[in-house]
Amino acid sequence: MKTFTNLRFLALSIVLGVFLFPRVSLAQDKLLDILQEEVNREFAVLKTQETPAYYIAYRVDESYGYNILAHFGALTYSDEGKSKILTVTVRVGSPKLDNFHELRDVSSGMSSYYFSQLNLPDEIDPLAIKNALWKATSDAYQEAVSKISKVKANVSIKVEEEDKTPDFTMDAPNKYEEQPIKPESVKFNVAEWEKRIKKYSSEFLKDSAIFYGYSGVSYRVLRKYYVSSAGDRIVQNNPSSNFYVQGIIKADDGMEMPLYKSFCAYFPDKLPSDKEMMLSTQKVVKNLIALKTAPVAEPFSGPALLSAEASGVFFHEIFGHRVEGQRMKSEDDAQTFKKKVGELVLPKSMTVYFDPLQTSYEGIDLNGYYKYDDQGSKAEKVNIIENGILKNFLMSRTPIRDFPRSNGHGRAQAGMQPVTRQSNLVVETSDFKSTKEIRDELIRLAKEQNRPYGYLFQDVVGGFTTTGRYMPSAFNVMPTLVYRVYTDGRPDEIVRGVDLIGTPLAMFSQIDMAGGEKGVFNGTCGAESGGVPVSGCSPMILVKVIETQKKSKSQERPYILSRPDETK
Amino acid sequence: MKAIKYLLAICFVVISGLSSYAQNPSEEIIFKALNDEMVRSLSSLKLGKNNPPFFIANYVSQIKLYYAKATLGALVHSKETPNYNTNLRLMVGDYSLNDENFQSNIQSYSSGGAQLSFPKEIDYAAIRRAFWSMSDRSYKRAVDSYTQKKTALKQQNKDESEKVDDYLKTAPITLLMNDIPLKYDKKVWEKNIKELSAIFRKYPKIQTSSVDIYFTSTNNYVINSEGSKIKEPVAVACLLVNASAQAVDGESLKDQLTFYCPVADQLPSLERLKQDVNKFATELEYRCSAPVIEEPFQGPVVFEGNALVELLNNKLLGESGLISSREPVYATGITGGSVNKMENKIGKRICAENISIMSVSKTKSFGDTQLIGAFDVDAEGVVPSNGLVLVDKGILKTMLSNRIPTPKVKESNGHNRFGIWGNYMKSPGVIQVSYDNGQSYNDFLKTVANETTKSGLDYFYIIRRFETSNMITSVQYGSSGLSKPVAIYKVLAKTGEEKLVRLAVISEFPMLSFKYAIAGTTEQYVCNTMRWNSIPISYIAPKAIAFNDVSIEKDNAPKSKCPVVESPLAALSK
Repeated sequence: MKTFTNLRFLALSIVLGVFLFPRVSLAQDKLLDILQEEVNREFAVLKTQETPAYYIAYRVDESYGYNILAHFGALTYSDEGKSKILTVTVRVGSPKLDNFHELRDVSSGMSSYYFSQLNLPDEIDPLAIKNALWKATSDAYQEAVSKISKVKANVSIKVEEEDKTPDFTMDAPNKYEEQPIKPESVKFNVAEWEKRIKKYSSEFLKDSAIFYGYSGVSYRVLRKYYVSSAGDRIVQNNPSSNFYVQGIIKADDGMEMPLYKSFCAYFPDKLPSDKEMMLSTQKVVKNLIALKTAPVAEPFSGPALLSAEASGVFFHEIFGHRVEGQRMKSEDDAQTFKKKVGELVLPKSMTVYFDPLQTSYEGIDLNGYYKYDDQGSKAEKVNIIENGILKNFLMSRTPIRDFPRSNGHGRAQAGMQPVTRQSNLVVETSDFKSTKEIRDELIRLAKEQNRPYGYLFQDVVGGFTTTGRYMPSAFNVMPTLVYRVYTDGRPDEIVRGVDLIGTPLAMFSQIDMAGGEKGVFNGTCGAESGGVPVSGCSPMILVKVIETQKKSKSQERPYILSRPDETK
Repeated sequence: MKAIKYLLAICFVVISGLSSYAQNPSEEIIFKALNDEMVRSLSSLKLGKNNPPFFIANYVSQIKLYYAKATLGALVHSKETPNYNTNLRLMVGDYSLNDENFQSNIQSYSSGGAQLSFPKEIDYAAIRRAFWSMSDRSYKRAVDSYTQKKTALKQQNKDESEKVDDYLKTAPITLLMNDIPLKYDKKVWEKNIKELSAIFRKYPKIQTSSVDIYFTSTNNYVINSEGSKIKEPVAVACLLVNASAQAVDGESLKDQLTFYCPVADQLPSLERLKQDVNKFATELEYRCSAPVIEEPFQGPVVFEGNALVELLNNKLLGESGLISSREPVYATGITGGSVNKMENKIGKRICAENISIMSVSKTKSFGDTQLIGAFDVDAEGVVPSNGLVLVDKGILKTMLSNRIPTPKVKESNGHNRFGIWGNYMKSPGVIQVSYDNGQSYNDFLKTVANETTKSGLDYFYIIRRFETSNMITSVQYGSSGLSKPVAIYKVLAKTGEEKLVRLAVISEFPMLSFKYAIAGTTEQYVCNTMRWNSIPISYIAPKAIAFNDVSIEKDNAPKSKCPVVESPLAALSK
């Protein structure tokens, strides 16, 4: 299952990253040299073994940063942290067939995505670091040798695979070095932020029915190293900062309704102003109060308008995961779009692309920015849909039929092996409608379908999708703020308890028009290779027919006693 | 209704550190917030026809931790992390029948999933909100459990005489102790662990190594509805040396050296530590090419030093040993888990008649060694009995207990311990093991050698160290309940010649084996250790005890291949 969650859930643990203006350095990075020396030393021996290694790569995710959190006006967390996490990849056999090949009908088929983290010394001590690299490489090589024998046995006893492309693409090595971002060069006044974060979170005290409310800020600089036995030598910076608020209110029937708001920027001084943060928090509080007594929505089928943020998640779930190339190589994958290249899958006016090199959209910094992916491949803009026609897929260094090369989308969380993942998804239309035009069309469609209202999905917390064959290839987008837009001119009405569900092809065929405001959902996508930062950028989208179901609901009664807010 | 049993009332008013103890403003706020929310919950937390809780204990642990790690002379980590942990114990029903002990005998503390974090800065309202959130969830869960438990009991046909109260009432206690400050010189300790870890640069056969320090100081604050008010500090300074190597046949060799004491400045000197680390590394390298045990063995085995403490800690004082355990009430159709049946042996022999065991949990030092297992009060407000005889000349007298009585251990002797991470569990504190008619170490070895010869054997084994779990590594426990011996020596009975061997496991060590002690030493060994990396424990025991009929066999666990590439250390040493 693939998930897309708002940053706020993971802000304390997930490394996010982008860097706007990298500078190429002439100075050698000592760690890069150490990694390079050891990978060369290891490869020189391991390539000569009976089961030869043909590719070894070291990734190091070095980070430092700060997290601050406050609940209901009280500081609950404020700490800095740093780490240097090593991930080793050893490929044995040959690019044609290696240890990362899918094991069919084996429950441990995901084992190539195993999670293995090792903290390297903080100090640059060549011997200590090389010893850690040596042991991790030795363990990874032994694991690889064991796996390749299983792969060969599996290939020999199973039917021929539909996609006979190699397991790996050997590309020309990339070399790229950025200077480190010095901690003192980034302004982050801890005391000032603590004060602000406490102030925002205290807004949740304004309604006694809110039983959970916090705000937080995180700032982190991630410096990512990649070296390989093929000569790749890359180091890039990914700084990120996030501000977020969350509140939860409980209705009398037990339903818990969370609302979230977050802002991302590469550096803390680019986050919204104090006034904007406060207004956003106050808006969350106001909406929570409205939700408490809002009517529960019944299952519905009819037209809906997705806000720009909701649309970003919608496209990420229903479309993005299904154009991740490597996934389509699996015999278990539903391969929704694999054979639809050249076909019209969206209205002719629409274009969808992924661009990891794009730093912002409508003035908002994008989470899914990077120069090189986690396989050392150069990031590329990929036009997936041009004028409604499917053109391409996101590719890592695992090729699929007719798509032999990486376009820089092999990504992974530190400690995990990369697979094809999304970056910055951007939806565009050549037939941009105004907000009024798009709302009018929503109302027209509702009338046409004999519905008293259509839906407006204003805010979402994330979503998930399944792309396999054993379970229905479906998606679920989890809205948090939903309105009925009445056909008779009544004001929009807030409702609660709605999930937006469906299957991808059916839903895609229902996309009618786009326009109105443009927006970004910055978040963290969770899938086989862990959590990676991504963005979904889109205008508002009108869908002719959507389907909703009732959201699962807590059976716990509301709090028996009132929230104690006395100060002494 | 059966009469409620009252424990002996021990009413202390600020019994320890009275002369110097001064409650600081933060503590006043913590206690007031805990009390105010507890009082409100006791009176008003009510759902329909269900009664409010009859017992609440609110816990706050203020944890200060300094953790640092170095490998091969390079610093990996060095940071002090302050933290708070909160717990709440809430019961509905009454002392004779409550919601606990249903389906599981794990006490129903509410922690971990607290919806609202404890504030980093002391804040009265925020503390109350944290406990408000926990109290609500705990109460609803307790009401549910209590209702189900009563239904289950109605369906069971239990003899009235078998019934035991669910919880013992105890007199309130006020015990407010001074902090144990977390004092250390960060720069000095960073330098120390770098120097210690750099020693391994001289040992190229050792594949991985690290030196870690954990200095903790935790203040546990408790307030309960019986009127108890406690502040008890728990402090442990720990230095861990971990290393691993691989024998020529691929056997994975892991070993560790641990030093525990209450505070950092009581750890051994750097020079002494360096000597110990050098010796440890030399032995580990030697083990790489040590001979493998040749044949299965059943006969006398000496457990010496740390190995004896591990044996006692894992077996005799472990979960199936001298720690009382109440059998839960199970719903119809639910099969019970494992319950310690040891109490059925009270009054019977469980050890050789030379062996006696006492709990002396208030003993703070022994000789020059400060005992980390010592404590003044447990997490349920019970002062531990000092000099509590558990085993007298081999006969089981009683067991370590908390306030949940069992059919044969009906009183608490105060062993629901505070851990260093703000957790609580039944555990020993300070255990003193004695061996009547003990001998000097040399005579002891002669006795074991004679017994070996009498048994028709040429040799016996001495085990000086097991692989043990610590904060860095976890180990596998075999079917014997013991981990792999890492310092095991084959000793020829005739000559006393010792030879280090490897690839050995103890295939079985049933409780029955404690009856077959051959000899023990007069010389004593003092050892601080930890249970589940959380509860500090101390042992005062003979240096060595030998048991007969212990089975040792070759470890048949799969072995990995040795690394193909030479290690950077080995390459450098050429």
